[in-house]
Amino acid sequence: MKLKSKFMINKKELCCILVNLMTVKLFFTYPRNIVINAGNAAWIQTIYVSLLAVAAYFITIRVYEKAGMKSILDISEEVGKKPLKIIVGLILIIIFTANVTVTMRSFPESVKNTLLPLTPMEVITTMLAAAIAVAAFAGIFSLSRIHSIYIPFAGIILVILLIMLTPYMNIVNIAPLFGKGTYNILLSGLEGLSIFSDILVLFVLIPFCKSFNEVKKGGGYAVIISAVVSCVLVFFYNMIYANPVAQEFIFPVYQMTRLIRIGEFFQRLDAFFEFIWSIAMMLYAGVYLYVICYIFKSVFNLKYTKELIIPFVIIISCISFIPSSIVDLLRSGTILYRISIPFCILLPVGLAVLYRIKGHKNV
Amino acid sequence: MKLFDAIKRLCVFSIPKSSNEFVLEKSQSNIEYDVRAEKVEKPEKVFKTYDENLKYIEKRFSYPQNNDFVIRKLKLFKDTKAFLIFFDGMVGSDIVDLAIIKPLLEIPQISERADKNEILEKVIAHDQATYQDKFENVIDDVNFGSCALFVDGIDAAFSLDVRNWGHRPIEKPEMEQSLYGPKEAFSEMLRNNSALVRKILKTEKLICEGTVVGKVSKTRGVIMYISDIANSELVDEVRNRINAITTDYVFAIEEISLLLEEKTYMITSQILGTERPDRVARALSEGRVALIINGSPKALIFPTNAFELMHSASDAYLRYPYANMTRVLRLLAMFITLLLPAFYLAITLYHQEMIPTYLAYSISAARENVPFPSVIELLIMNFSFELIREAGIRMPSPIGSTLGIVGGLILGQAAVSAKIVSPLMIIIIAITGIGSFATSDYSLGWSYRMIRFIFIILAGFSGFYGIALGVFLYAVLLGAQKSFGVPFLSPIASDKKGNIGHSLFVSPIWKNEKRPDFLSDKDIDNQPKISRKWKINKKK
Repeated sequence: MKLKSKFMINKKELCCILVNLMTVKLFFTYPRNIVINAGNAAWIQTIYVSLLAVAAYFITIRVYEKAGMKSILDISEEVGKKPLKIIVGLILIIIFTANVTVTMRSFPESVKNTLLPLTPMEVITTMLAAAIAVAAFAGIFSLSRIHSIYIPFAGIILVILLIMLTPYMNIVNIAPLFGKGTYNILLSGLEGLSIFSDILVLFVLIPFCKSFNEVKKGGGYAVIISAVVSCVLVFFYNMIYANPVAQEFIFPVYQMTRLIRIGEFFQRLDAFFEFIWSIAMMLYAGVYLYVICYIFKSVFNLKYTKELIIPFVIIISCISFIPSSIVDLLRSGTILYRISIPFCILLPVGLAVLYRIKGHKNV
Repeated sequence: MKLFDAIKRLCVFSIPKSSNEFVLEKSQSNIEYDVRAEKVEKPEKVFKTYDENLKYIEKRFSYPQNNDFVIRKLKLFKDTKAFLIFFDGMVGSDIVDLAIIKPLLEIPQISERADKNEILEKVIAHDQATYQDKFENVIDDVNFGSCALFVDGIDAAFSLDVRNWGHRPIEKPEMEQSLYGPKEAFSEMLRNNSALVRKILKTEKLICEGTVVGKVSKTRGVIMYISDIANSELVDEVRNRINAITTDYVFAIEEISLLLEEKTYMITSQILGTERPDRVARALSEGRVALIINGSPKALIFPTNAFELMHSASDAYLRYPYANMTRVLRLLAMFITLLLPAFYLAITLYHQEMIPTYLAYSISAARENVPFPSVIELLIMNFSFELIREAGIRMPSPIGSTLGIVGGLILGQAAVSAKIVSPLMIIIIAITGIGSFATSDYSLGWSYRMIRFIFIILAGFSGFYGIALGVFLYAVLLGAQKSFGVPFLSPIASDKKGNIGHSLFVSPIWKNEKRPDFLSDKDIDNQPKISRKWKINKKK
């Protein structure tokens, strides 16, 4: 009869973390990018991409099952000893750092555009950096608990917002049904998988979880929920704005929330939406910062994680200022996603396959 | 003549008359019996002879300098010498006279070779009497209100529990008032307090484990738990932490609470304090551990979590729809007291588009002649409110209520008339203040009041973004806290379904089949699945 001395991330918490990681970027430019690619058929493309992502996840997890509770770093070490572990670790650090760097720039940009037009960008970014550093100091268990409280709450708010948006939907806006054609939907649309690339974090967080069954279920629910959320959001965006207009908005979901007006008192809830989204963004960046430091610690066999937080948060903040404008940022973000998608999908599968082969040879 | 003396004193120097000047020396090192130092030589065992014991006791208790210390010398049968020691005022004189001195002097059948057992069994007519071989135990008992008897020829002293000092009777709770449920509150007497809990639980499995806190004060207390339910690791942890406190003096249980907390710099308290025996009993029945110490009308409960601090003792006694309504009210009160001023500031300074135009005009018109920016206005008003509250507590109760009325009504009205603050600000501050009074735990209320100031500054600095930042940081730091090894947001971290619901709301009493799973109790079943058998019997 022991007190739970070592706290683990349970299924619900894992699911909430992954849902936040995958869906929070939907509120940036993702719906716009899809609309630019597929036109009125953006929602069909999202369904197609979501189905692919769900299938890819279940294949990956099936292959990974043999490795059990080992993280992607552990199995890379078993497959290719220390050199492969360092290579995989550095790839992960680069992908995650690039990912969080884009967020560290685009989120303050959105805050500046929508909430604080007079506040300098540097101040907004510094505040965000300080917040995520504290979050990373608090640790992954604190973040997971907050996710499990906050994400259901944010989900309810999102549903309410969507319900409020239904009067603005127009069926005419999704015609012609196949938008810019099936080629764009099926082949160019694969770029849309970038939204699910954050599932890679799952394979780093495995040692923090209770059992592989929980990991499998938590990840599965997360992918499915994220798929549903992305489909619904893109569908709403398609239905509310006609195609040429929809390509103009840099922050589509924010733009939709600006439409809401109920009676005399409830109008322009966009600031409230930004408030809810801001907390989700901070949780997102906090998790990434912690994961980056954790990978660095594991790869180089360091004793502590906390000492790495401040250097990494400074590096990330500095890199985030490199793009000269938001257009530059969007461009580099798109390039980054194109590069990172193959790694995110193939890295866990590839390593798991190698692990299985090595396992068979040893037997 | 006097005038001449005065002029002389002014003009001519004269050596001042010597007077008794007190100078406090920096340190003194002539402590004879330092209770903290282990190296000082002290006799371990009670001496066999009367004279040795008497001499040592007189020296140890600084007798007769110590005015309230009493040594009563006696001559027993066949001139056997004995003496009693006790502190005047801490013992019941009647008991000492009738149950101890009288039998010792009157009963002749004591034999010449009487040993300690014989005296204990045949002579002393008192229910709580033991003999002690060690001097330190005897002295500790005497310091805590017992009386000790030394008899010539016996190398032990008889410790007789005759404590009877003045104390407050059992009264109604002051901080945790409730219309329903028991109306008793703890007082300052340790045994009364433990008995109040025991009479509710009525089980021999309720363990009241004695403990002593404070190296010098040796404040006695009891660690309470139900041995069949409480996790033994939790009990061990509580015991170890309490035993590891090495401070000299402990005056109140609140000090122990501060010494036991893991993160003392956090704003929110991590230990639940209560003055209600029924709340302690309920906590023990769930598998928690409680601590009561002598001289404190309060008990500490370990572990606790963020949600329990928001609960009230009366929630358990209300019908569950009513209890849930009060919980929702308190939750709203929490949001109001924490965030209302910050939201007001954020909306009026940064996000005016959220409010209808006519309301924006109205706010603007109300603030037209106010010289301060909204942030300063809000901070001044909040500070004034806190000042009134603090002054109200310090004042005697009749003046305190008057001060509240004067501060609230007259000052507020005068400030509006003088156009120092806007009327809307008075409304915001008043609602915020009422919200903070609805907080059930006083310590939690304190934390809300402090965090509110932070939120106001953040909202003044960067509107909703600042508030989001504040909420995020508060939540993350709260999530990182632990109370005796249990995460502060523990019910959420567990796998059980509906944990958030159970933490925030009350479920019907027949549904409470399990004890809180984060406590990892020995017995997790609180009641059988069917706790209302009459329902099934009726169907049959």
